[in-house]
Amino acid sequence: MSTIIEKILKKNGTVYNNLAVVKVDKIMSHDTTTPLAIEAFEKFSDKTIHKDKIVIVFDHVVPPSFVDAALNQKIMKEFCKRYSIEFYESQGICHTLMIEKGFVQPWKVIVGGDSHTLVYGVAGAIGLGVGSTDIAACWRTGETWLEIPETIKVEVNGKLAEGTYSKDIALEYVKELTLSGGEDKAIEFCGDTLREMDVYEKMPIGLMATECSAVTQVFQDEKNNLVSDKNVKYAKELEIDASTLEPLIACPHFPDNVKPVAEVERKEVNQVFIGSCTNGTIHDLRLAAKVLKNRKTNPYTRTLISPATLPIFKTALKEGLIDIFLESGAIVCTPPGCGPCIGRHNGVLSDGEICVSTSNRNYQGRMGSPKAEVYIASPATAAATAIEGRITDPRRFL
Amino acid sequence: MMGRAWVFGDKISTDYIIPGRFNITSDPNELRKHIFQYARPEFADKVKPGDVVIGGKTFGCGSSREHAAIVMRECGIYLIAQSYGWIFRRNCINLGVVPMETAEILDVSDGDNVEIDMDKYLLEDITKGKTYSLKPLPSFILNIHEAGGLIEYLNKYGTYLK
Repeated sequence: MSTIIEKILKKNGTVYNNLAVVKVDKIMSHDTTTPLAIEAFEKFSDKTIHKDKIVIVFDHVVPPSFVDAALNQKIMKEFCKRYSIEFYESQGICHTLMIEKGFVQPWKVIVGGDSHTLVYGVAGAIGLGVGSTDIAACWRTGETWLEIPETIKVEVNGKLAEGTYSKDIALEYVKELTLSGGEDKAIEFCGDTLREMDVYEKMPIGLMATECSAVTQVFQDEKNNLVSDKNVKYAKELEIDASTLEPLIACPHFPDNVKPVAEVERKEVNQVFIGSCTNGTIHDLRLAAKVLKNRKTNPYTRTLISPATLPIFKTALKEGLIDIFLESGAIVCTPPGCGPCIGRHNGVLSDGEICVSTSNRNYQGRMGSPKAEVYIASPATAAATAIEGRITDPRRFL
Repeated sequence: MMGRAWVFGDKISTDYIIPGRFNITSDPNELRKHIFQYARPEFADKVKPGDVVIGGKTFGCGSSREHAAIVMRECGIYLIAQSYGWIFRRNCINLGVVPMETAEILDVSDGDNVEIDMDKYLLEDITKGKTYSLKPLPSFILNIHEAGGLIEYLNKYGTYLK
């Protein structure tokens, strides 16, 4: 009897007791984690490199906004050139780009130098977020290791209630499992509600498994035979009825500090950010546009909207969504990148500022000053908040 | 070696250990200056090799930034927690910092004199006269530690499983 996770690991490698050594299909890293990986790689005596597996994405500080970032990216480009490595500069946020380009295939193991790499489970792969030394070790060996995790099952059924979206499902299970609840475990998602979603709609759900400290996550997918054996023993089982959800929001300073939006409504907000690997897809932009169409954002609330990749940006242009955003007074941030979410550039927060963001985590200091406060919500809640300048239940604008 | 205990609570994130805005360099000395900068600004100046950082649940949750493990290594501290963020734990192992775990409820106060016995897996609180057991490390992880880190391990053995 095996879980999906165990099946994928066994297919890609060898299992010794509870330790798996697995072949990886792709090794992704970005401009924050790659420079240290290059330094680590230089320490290998044997410089054999699995270059065909490597994808390097410039998305965290693009284009560079300070000298050290420029230097790091210069070093990265020289490395890519030396080993003929595939790289993407300012083309999109790594995770959305990886999925869009078809680099994420079912039954594969993908390692990424980013904690949200586990999102690849939305497309049936095992994504493992690791640090730079592990990335270098993968470049060198084409493999990685992990202790086989137990699995938590999260089943979501029912039609999503009005004003709630996949992000609200994500916030609901993060609240239920808590920040430590996924520790050393994998999460398997299933249920009718999720079966009807495409990969991009699943992204906030898969991605926020990181916020429960999970090792990885995967979505059940009968078409690709990604199902756990019957009677398999789960570490925990959680059921969510999507029809009873209401718009949710994670309050400072932890992603599991989740409350109904109604409980914190009317709080004044200085910045709204719609974007990131969590909610920067065309679904998210359409949803934001639906709320913002023929309306104005509050002038005291800086509203940032950032498509996650260039193809998404192009589609948004064609569909007239960018026009809607510009007419509303929002700032459309390009090129696609991680700036606001990581508090690096393109909209950082000062002392005392409050932000409603569609990103994934709200630890103290995450988006700028440690004296700022970050709330995490769906694009609909964020857009409604941008109009009112206060935390707002999106249902009044739908 | 005796050291000072630095006691932290649950859910200490990598943003808390070193905020993202300081991860702009890979110079360990520069990074070290910003360890716990917002929460414990005195830490960087006062910490000494042999000191013990004691966390609660899910120490090092959040981002994959290896900078958080680098600053631990640069300070030469021991690390004990009830549990760790998955990536942070791996990063520590890979860099030769041992993420020790304990199942015991620790009654250690910030500033206590403490000592770790890595062979016997014990933490002694000298100030309070109490001793706690630590969880033994899996052999695979111990092997990486003994080699001095993952790069050194792979240089020596060429593969994950020697």
